[in-house]
Amino acid sequence: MNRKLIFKTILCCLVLTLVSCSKNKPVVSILLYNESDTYIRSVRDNLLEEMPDTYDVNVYDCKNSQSEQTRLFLKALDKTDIFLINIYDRANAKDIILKIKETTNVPIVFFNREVSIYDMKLVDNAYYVGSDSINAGQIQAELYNEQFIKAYNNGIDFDTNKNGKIETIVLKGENQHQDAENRTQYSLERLEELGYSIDTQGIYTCDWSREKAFESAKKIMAEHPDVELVLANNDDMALGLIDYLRNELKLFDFSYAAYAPIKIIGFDGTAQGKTAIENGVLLGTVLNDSLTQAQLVVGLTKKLLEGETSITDVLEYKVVNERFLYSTSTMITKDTLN
Amino acid sequence: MRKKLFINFFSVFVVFLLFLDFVVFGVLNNNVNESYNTQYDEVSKQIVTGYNNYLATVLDTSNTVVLLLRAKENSGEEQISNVFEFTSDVKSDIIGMSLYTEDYEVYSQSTLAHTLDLEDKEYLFDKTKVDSTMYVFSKLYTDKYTPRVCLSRQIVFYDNNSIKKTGIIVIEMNFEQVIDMAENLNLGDKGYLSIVDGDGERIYSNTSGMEDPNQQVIDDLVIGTTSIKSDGDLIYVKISSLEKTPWKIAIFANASGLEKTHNILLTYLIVATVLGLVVAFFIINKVSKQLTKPLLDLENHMLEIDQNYHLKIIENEYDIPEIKSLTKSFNEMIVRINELMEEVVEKSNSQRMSELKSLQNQINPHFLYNTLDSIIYLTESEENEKSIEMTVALARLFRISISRGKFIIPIKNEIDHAKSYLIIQSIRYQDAFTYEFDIEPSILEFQTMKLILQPLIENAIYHGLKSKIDEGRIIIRGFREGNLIIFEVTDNGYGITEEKIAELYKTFNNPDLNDGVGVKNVYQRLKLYFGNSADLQIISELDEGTTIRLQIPIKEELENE
Repeated sequence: MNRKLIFKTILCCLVLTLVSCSKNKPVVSILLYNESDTYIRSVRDNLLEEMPDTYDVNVYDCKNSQSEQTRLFLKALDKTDIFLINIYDRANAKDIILKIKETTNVPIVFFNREVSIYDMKLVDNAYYVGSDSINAGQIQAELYNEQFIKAYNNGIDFDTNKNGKIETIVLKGENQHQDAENRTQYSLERLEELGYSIDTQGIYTCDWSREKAFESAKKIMAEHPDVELVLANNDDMALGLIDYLRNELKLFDFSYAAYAPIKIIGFDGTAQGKTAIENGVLLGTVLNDSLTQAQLVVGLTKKLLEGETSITDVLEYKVVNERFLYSTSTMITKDTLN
Repeated sequence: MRKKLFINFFSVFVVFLLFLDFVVFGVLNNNVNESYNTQYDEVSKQIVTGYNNYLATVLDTSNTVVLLLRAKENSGEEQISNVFEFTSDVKSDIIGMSLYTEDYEVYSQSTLAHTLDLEDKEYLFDKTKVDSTMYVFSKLYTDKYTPRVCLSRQIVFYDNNSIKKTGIIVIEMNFEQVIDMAENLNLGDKGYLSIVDGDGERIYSNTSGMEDPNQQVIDDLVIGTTSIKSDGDLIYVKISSLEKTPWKIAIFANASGLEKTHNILLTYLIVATVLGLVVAFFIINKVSKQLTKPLLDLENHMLEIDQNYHLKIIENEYDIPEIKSLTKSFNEMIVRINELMEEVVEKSNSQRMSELKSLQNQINPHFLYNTLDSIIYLTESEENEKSIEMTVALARLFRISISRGKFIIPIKNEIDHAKSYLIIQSIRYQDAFTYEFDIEPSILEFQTMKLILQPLIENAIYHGLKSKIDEGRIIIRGFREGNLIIFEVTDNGYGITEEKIAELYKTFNNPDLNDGVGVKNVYQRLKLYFGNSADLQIISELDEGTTIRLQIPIKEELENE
């Protein structure tokens, strides 16, 4: 009798200790909108690298579907101490915020896909980390400008048909995405401000996807044979178009992008993008600093889990409008890579 | 025992059955719940997809218009108006489109477009300015015109002078289609759906005109699934967000089918359990009877033995191996007991035989004849004193020999018996020997087995002194040593050799009763009755004499049976 009792008590104690031990590690749940997006993968990798070991980190892929993201979110709701959300549908962010407010009231850090200030202000502990998309869009224009001038000084005219206009195609990420919209709008605007006469022949939405861009490329090139400049909202889509141009039209046998009849500029600065710049097929790209963003997210996470409120700065980046943290962008060309 | 067995088995079975019930019910219940939930989820998904698709087409159209207005070719009020007109005509889900300037003035419209009043403009446009990348949704307009919702967003356009301007576009979405989709749904009795806008206000619900009774549920749940009770019916609730809009759709579906299934499941389980218990009751009862019957039989047999002193062997054959072996062991035990009892009887008989033999020796006809002869001779010789003494001694001798059938007598009597014998023999043999009794008075009242001294004395006379020329002497001693009575019969004859003594000891243990040696007879009787606490020793010294030493235990009361 005695032995049994002692054994049972020890067992109970062990179980309780284990349970309480595992409960002590804070649970961080990361909801990604789509893991097949190259840029998102690099953000994820950086996040996991930067995240301290004292956190229990779970990553969920929502596969381009808000209902899937909502489902995964609801499943993780009870056991999560902080949510890091790459929201798929920006219009639905309010529901997520309200649900958390009604239940566990844990802090939220949104990243890469921006959430409206009105929605975030429904709670005290919601923040956004991303890139300054307006500024980044302008940098894309300035990159073109710089390259144009440099080439011109070396006797190369980017205006291939010399009609005084730059025939331009935009490969748009998606509608109602702040990066897509702003990069598109402000890149074009800045070019015009810099004095270029831009003939926007079309804006094609390719879902940030290299494959989609490749599929649309045939139609684009057929309808716009004179295109001189392609501004892509991200490197993946730029590369998709390039894939088509190399395989089907056998262009880009040049080692220097400036010689190509079509100038293509990407966005993000992914590894593949940089390689393409090295190889001379991509004129340049604008860095979307996934490392800094990941560091900012992790910095915020640490502060929020420690119970800090009204955070004003993280890692020397100032919080804008009480809730926004932006990483800065720079241009990347073959020169800057060396 | 049968009861205990039955209770044990039955309670184990009950516990097991209940456990099984829980597991089965739990698993099945889970499965049923899962499948119902999946079913409702699917229904919900389909509805949501329908709405998403509808909204997506509206947004697509809008985005296309935005792109068109971006193009310089479509500059100016008239061009823009044409674009609007064309689009509204083609798309039935769009009632009208309007373009407002940054100052909220109407710049261009399609014919069927409705102008917003100031309050609405401020509400919508202020929000629009905050984030130029997203659409702002208005409330539902349910005036005399077609029900509609306005979407607004900031856009870039070119005015009459091809100057780039910023403005706000308003698209009026036909909400009637949304209502139609809802009306065609079948969500069961008491099932309905509600569309909730970004501020949590209900913009539509098809509960046949009544107020949404479950607004609180929607507020509390925000998004996700739950179930509620409404007038006794189980209702499944799922709230999903609609894509690209701040709207949510709450679906209430009648899940009483689920409850019914629950109840049916439960009923079946209960019935099955009860049946199972009843059947088990009878089976276990039978089984426990079968198990205990052989044991009870066995018990009865053993009881029989107790009451009737019959040592019966159990003849029945039992199937159960344990009981078989038990029966076998029992029978072996009985056989052994029987053997032992026979031994006891035999020993008892032997004892009696010894007794009889000794008695027979006592009533030795030769001794009687010779003694009577001596008495006649003495009477004829008129040696009356001696003849009387001899007669009296003879009478006393026989009286004590018989001792009314008892074989345990007081030592006093045994001494008298020996004395009587010696009187007779000494008269007969006319001073051939002398004798002496040296008896501790304290032992006289103790008990002894009768006829143990006389044979020794006889032995002393006939074997010890027969060849003695000078005066033979016999001394009979009796004393106490601890808890033993010691008798010693000593003669001063020529003694017995060691070898002879050893031989004599050997014959003592020989079961053959017919070698007629009195000493042996005494030894055997002593051993039979007292066991190892009695002993007979022969101590002899050649030319000096022989002592036969008896030891018997003292007992206050010796049993005569």
